[in-house]
Amino acid sequence: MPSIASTSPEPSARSRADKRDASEEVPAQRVMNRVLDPAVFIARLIGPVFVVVGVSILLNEEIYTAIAIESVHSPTLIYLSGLLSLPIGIAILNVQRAWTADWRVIVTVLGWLFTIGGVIRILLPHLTTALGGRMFAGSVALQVVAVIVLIVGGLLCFEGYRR
Amino acid sequence: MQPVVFIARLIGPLLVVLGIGVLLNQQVYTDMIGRP
Repeated sequence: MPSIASTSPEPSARSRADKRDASEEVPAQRVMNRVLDPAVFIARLIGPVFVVVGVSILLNEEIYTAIAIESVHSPTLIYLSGLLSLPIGIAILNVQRAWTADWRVIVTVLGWLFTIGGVIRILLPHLTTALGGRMFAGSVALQVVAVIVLIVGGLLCFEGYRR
Repeated sequence: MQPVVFIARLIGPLLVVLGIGVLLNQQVYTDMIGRP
């Protein structure tokens, strides 16, 4: 009667099988492995949102100007936007905080911007009112913001969804 | 990272900032909730 040890495959046979498994990785698995990278997942999440927001600002400039002016003069809206921004920023920094020399640094920068923006809005609402009022006083400020958001969103979409 | 650690790292700083925010801006928050 053969022992249990003798029925297990040889080490060389096992490594050959592992290599075959890796080479036969189906495209869906490859995509899933890539999405499991936190930076890619965040890029796939935030990229489309930024693109839609950027296009929307350019298409509905008057509405967004009214929203911006109303928002910076309402303590409740400033507080709620800080309450929304801070956990998003902290969540991003918890999974992606590395200062790498590639596109992933955009995700890190966005994490810090969301976090710092949230902290300022909650701790210093008067500063937010003053800065926001001054920032949106100019007519081109909103267009500049829209273009920046659109470019960053497009870049994140490209890096997140390519392949 | 364990889920409970992730949640603690997420909610901990948020509650600290909210607490300091309320202490620093008591007048703003009083006006916000409509108390005379």
